[in-house]
Amino acid sequence: MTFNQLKALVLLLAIPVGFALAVRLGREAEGYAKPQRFVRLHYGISPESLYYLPFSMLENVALARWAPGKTIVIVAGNSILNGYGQAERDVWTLRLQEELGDRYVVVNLAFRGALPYEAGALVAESLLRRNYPVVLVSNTSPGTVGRVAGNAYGYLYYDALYKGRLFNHPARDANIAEWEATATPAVRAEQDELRRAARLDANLRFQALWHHVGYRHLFTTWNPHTRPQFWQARASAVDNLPVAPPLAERFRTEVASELTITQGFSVNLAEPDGSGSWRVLGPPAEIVSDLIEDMIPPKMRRHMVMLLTQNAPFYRTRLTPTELARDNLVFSAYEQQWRKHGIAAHIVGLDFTDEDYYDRSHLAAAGGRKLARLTADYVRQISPP
Amino acid sequence: MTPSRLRQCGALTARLAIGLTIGFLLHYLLYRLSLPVQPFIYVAF
Amino acid sequence: MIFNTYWFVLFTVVFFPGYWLIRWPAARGWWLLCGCAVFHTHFAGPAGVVPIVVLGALTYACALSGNRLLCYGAVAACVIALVGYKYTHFLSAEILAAIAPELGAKTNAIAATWLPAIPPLALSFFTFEFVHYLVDVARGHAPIRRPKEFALFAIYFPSLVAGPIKRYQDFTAALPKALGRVELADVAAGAQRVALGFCKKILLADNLTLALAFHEKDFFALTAPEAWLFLAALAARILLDFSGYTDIALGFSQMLGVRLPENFNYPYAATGLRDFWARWHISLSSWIRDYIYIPLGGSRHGRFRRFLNLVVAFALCGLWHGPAGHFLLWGLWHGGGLVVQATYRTALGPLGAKLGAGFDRVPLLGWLVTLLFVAFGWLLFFYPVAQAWAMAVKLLTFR
Repeated sequence: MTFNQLKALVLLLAIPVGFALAVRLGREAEGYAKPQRFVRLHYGISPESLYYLPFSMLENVALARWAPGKTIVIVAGNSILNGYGQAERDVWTLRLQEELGDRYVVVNLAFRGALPYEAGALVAESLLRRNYPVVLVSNTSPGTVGRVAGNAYGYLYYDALYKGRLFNHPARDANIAEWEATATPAVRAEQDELRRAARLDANLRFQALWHHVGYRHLFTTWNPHTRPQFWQARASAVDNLPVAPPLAERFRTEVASELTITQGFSVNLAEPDGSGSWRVLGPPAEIVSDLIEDMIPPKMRRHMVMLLTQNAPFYRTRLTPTELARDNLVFSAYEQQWRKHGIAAHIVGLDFTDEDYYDRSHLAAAGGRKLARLTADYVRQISPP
Repeated sequence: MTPSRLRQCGALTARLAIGLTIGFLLHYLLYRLSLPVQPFIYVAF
Repeated sequence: MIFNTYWFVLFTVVFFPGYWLIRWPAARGWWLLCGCAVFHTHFAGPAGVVPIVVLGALTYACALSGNRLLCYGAVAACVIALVGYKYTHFLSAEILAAIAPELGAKTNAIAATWLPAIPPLALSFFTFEFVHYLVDVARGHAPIRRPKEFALFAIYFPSLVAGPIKRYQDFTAALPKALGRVELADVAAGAQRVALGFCKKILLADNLTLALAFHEKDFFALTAPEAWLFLAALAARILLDFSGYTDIALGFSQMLGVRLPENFNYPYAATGLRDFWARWHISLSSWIRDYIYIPLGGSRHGRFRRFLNLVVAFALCGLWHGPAGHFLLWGLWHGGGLVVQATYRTALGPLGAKLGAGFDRVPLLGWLVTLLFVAFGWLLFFYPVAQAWAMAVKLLTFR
């Protein structure tokens, strides 16, 4: 063998060695990598800034403060439960922790724009599957369930699935397969890539290692949320989610479009019954029922609190009496719909004031405190201390 | 150790370091592909 | 996407070890062909593969016949396919509609019914390689006899998507050696080249693309230094993206034992526009020289024809990038620039001579002017004409 060949051989042999070392480090990071002093997922640690927290990181956060004898309360859902509109020190889940006391560990894993059963909800499923005492608190609006795959946080489903973290729930697999069969080729290709990524990561643990590096040392991808110093470790990113201004400055912009959205909460879910009142439309309710059945494993359901979050009075009081009647009917009907599947569902926000809201849907600190009190009761009902 | 042997050792060490770096880079690449990657500009032509 | 997909990662994990482990050249050739076919089918889909197979079969058969007329007929078929797939909408909706609006609209509507939404993957690159092959055979070069060898030339996966535009004489000479034996040094060098390409693409070009996409929305609100930084990023991004791609393509090919032609030679170090085109997208510029500029007459028919040929060749080069006015203008910008570079010393009289002497004495000046010329050209390349003009005005007025 010539010296040139020897040099090439050394280089080629070192490549798999380097790769194997990285895999090893990834496996280690999977066990400990997590954001410190965690309150909630803000822009610095969320997919909005290209920081796609791996499932293991969410699990590590969920278990960080847990000790035997305590119940883990995972708060999933969307920006409303994320605390968008509340300063970090006022986030409603901190109040919920205070309300519930030391016997519970509250962890806010709500992602902005998430569906009621995805992302953080899957962490609760994983922990329950591993026999941890868990309560999942999530939120939605009437008519919204969605699938765990195919959305912005669908990557977490495949991540959890291929690492064997989820309950075996054939109805969910079948539903996703059926949806994919009717999706466009581009969507199918995207799902295929997500699955390949998750399958590879299940063996090679690249997400855990490089997200840990991104959090602790150096982030390598430009994004508008952390510009101009996008390379800074995400551990130094501050929670700068918007905070509700004084009441006089709220509800000033986009009033017309927000009112249309408020009307839209029930417009496609009920029809006039001919006697001046409303009846709930069958097909959308059936779709919701099927999706609850397909997406949420039966074992999870009695560990869940589903909050149907109402819109701010500023907008609801602008609904016509007919629209308001329809809105009330639809919220009640869908509350029952979730309950039929064994899930503790509650409408929240009906008795809240404009002071409690940051905008149409998000809560200010005052609303957060009220939500915390209500939710604490709901949690105790299904998981007494 | 003679200078030429030293040079050879240096060259081999450099190759070892480059190889290890490429291995790490490949692992990083797998992570990076999961972020929204941009298509190559000339693929569109 | 292509090289930066998990599918491709898995493809390489299966394909490359198989290629290296197979020792029998014929079997290795079949393995390579299967790999190329799988790669092409996966990324192009059946609708993208069929036109290429048809054109490839026609090209192969016509070249094999040795008949010059048939070869040029096949060239025409390739060009018609390229124009049909890529330029019909542009020709009908932009050109024809400007002359006869009704006819243009009608033609465009008819075309929309039978044309796919996007042309077959890499059609331009296939066409250029087929045209080169057919013209060279018509000029007397020996055709490729074995269908397998021709198929490998046609759909060789490292260069399939975006070149480099290879020459069949070099490729068919390198292929038997590669199928016979792959050197360890080539695999190691190829791996380093691939790694370098991914660094350029993923670490640098993609970050620049994200930043540019964000800032181009508010370009007119940027300060003058920020706007100039934007221009620098635009110029850096295309070089890093395309040369990154080329490094990956060349690296993978070298790992198979085949050296593909280089496409870049430090283009932003050029001290003149002619020098730039000898360094930038070399396989395309040499193709245009050999199969457009020289056949048009090159520099054989006096200065005026030479410059006209140059401008026509670059206009076509611009249009090759896509059916849009700004690409055409980008081509004309460079064609015009080359004409100016070739004539200013005499055309401007004593001032031109002085300028020329100044550039000769201070190469840094030539480098700076060339870099600025190329960078402003990228505005035309990436943005519609009116927007590129407004951006250039903002940059030049330092507002």
